[in-house]
Amino acid sequence: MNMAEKNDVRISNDVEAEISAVDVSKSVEGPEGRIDILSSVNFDVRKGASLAIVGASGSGKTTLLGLLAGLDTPTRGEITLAGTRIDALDEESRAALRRRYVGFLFQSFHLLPALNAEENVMLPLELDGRSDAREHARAALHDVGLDARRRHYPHQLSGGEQQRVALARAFVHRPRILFADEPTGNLDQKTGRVVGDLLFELNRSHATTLVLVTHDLTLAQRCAASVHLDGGKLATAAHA
Amino acid sequence: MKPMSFAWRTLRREFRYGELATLAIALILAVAALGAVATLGQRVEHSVVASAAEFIGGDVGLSSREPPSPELSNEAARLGLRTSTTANFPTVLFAGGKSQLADIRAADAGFPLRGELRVSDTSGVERIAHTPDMGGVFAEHRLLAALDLKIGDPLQIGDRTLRIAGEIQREPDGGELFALAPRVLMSLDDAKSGGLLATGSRARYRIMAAGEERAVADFSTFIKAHKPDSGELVTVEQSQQNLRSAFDRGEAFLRLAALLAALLSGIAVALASQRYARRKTDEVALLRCLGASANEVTLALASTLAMLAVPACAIGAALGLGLQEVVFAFAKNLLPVTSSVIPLAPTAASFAVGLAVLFGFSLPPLLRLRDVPPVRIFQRAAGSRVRRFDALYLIPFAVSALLIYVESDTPKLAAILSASLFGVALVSLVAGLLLMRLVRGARGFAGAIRFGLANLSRRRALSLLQIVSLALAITALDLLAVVGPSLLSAWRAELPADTPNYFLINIQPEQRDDIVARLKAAKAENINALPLAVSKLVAINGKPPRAEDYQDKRAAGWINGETRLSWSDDVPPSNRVVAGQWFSAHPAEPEVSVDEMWTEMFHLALGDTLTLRIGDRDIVAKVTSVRGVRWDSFRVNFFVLLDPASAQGISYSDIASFHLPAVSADALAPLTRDYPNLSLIDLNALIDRIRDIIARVGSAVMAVLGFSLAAGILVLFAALAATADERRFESALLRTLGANRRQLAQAVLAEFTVVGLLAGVIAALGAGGAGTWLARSVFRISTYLPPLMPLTLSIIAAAILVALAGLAGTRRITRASPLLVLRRA
Repeated sequence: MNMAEKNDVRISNDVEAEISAVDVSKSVEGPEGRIDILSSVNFDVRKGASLAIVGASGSGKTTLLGLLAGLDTPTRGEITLAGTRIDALDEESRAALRRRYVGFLFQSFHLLPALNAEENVMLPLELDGRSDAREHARAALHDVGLDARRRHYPHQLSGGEQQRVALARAFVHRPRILFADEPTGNLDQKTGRVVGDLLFELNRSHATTLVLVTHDLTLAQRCAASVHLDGGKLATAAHA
Repeated sequence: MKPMSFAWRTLRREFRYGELATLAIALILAVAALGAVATLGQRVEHSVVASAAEFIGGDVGLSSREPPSPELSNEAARLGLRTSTTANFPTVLFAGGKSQLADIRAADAGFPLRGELRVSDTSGVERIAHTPDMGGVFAEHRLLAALDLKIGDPLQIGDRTLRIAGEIQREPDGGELFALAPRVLMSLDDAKSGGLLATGSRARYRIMAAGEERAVADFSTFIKAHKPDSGELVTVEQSQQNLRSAFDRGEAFLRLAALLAALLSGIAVALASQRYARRKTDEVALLRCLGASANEVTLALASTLAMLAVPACAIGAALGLGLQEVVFAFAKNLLPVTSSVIPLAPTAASFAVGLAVLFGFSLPPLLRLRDVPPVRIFQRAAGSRVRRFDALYLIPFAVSALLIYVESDTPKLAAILSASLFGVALVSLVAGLLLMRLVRGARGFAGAIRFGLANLSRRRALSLLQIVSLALAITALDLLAVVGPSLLSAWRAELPADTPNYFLINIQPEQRDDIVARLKAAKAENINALPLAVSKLVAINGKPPRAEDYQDKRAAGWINGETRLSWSDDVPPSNRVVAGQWFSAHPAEPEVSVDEMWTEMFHLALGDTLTLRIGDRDIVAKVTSVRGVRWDSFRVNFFVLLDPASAQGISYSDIASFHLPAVSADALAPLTRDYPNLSLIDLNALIDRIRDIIARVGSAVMAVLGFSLAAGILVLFAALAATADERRFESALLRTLGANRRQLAQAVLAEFTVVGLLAGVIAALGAGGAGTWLARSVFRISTYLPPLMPLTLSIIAAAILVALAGLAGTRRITRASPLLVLRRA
């Protein structure tokens, strides 16, 4: 992975860059004027690599994750995802891109309470119009060790089990890139370790590019590289 | 994504959450109430038409001075219609040295085509009959009493002596209220052979036809094209105005109740959708995050609604059909002619209205979910910015306006209801804002109460939504539970026990004093006698009126026909001057007072002149006053009243209305015998029928009211549930911080009592105002006053009910573990 030193702009020429951020800034209007959440962030992530974004609360980690995943647009700068410039795309085009290439894992799991485990896992495939969603969902649940729980609804599952279902959902459509936001933040240490193991195992077996936002340094250290955000700026850099 | 299968899967689970159940119940109530009332309305309309057909003895016909031409009978036969010919004429009958003027109906064997002729024999046993055979007659009791006859006695009619074969108990005749009494029914062949219908007789012929609807319509067209100059088309629409008016009012009551049920359901749908949309926001954010397009999200939500709506509307439609069947079974004794065929079009329409209510009221919050940004999955605040104005929220208003317009059937009812509800919404919005300003900080109250009151301004938008929807719901409930019954009572009071039940016409001026004295002696009440003169309207403001100049088709009747007029020193009972001044004692020039309807029909204004030709004299009279006349008061009323000074020298007869108790009815026979020129009209049957209609409409309204009340309660709970999620979290937080249940209950009670009180006051004012407006403009009950005490009680009831409902909703919250609630939040 090539990345910027502090706030210097350095555009990668790496043809294999799966994710690229060039001079990315994000500001919002607050009651007392403009607030800069991110300032001139630059880096690339190579295909199949894993990157941890760490930093204190309010440092802009989650905002950066959202921008990289195409959930939001930067105030300034360029973002390339899976070979496509996404900062200029409209929301519908970005949604189509996410559907095909991106998987998500959230701190609070975000399972749909009205769907059972299997139906939750089927979602990304169904969104892509796949008719074999159920078979793939069952296989994905098998991979996370939840065959017996596929008919259970989220409220009938423990936190660890819910996150394993979320893992199955994140990988079921074989995404090229996985974005994870504090995936173990709501879990106890032991369960968090199990979920972390599963995450990296699946990431390896699916050769997925992983971008992980975390407070958990142990988890961050398992990534090939990490960046540290401080006040919306890249404070330290690391090379994959 | 396959939105349908996704919707189906989520619907199964989400139904347990409550909002969708509220939506479904609201829809069921709306469709059931609207369907039941519309179906009932159509069936009653059919029955009224059928009943009117009975009153005129057929579906359509021609009344003329000449015998009907054979081509009419031939055309009717060609169209497959049955026909019957009758001739009506007055003649004097003789028996045992006595004589009596009678109204003869000579009919062929086909009479009656519709309805029943019921006669009784010597033992009083009734049977259904047709025209008597040649040589026999059926006669009314009054004739038998006047001539001291019994069944089997001979009676001389013209040069024929016929035998009385039965006493008429009931005949299809009510179409001609002013027919001469008493009635004798005889064979047309007897009348012809007895020379009673010879050239120059005063007979009026009538050929009636009955059969299939289309054939009747064709025959009606044929009659119009071929009728002689003296001929008049006889249709069911022209008859039974009094009954029709009663049914129309009854239907307006029912429509009002159903409409309010539908509007209340709409409010419940809107509130439940708002809450459902809030619950779905995170889910939509996730779907968008996973790559679902905005259209897919919309389609999935619309599919969920459709899957909910179709079965709910179907259940509502079935319930509506069941309800109307029960009400109809209860009401059908009112009408002798009822059909077992249930029209399905109103049910289908109510189904469609149900869908419109659901989509109209739920779309705004649900369509807004399209705009939920995927980044909300990380930042809950994203996408929650409130728009200053959102055109989508005009949809429910448009749907409400359309609903009111389509379902109310009369623009007046629609306008009054819309304006009243809109007024209530606006006033409650402003009052809500003022209240929040007032309670902000809520100094001077105990801690928990202060917290409860402060809650109002902290949850500003939700509190306003709650106040407005509660005010609307309570207004509707007040209208239904308090104002509706009082309107019905006022309607009932229009026909008090001493309502005039007889008319005496053709009283000669010299007979008047004796007749009035005899009526008083017979314990008659409310005797109201007025002179009656016949005139012709020959000019308005000096110009001869032309029928084609007036949109109102009734104008032609007065322009081409006669105008009956009267005069009186005082404003007659059931009349009130609405514009101008009543006649002065010595007017400088002839003055005239006209009915409101006339001023509208002939575009008259105060100061205009009418030229009335009476005999060979033309009176040019200035319009000096306009009267509002209660035509359904069963009193003698006139469209045109002349000032008494100008009426000097006009030839006239008197007409009187009076109430005579049933026990004194026998006193009328000697009166008509002593004064054979009199025509007596018995209105008892008609009044009884109208009273019956009012009673049964009242019961039917109560049945529909049940739905409306259920819808109102649903709104109440939906409104309270609207803030339940937030309150649940707050309560859990407060309990975690050490608040006890009593303190929480005090806070909730303070908040909801104030909300309930405010909504109750606005609703009582709104309902009282709307009721008065409806009474004056739609139900034409000018004496109506809103019931102050029940409305005041409704304010207290609203405050208590809302407070208790709020408390009940919070009890569940306070009993749950705070940790559980906080975790779920």
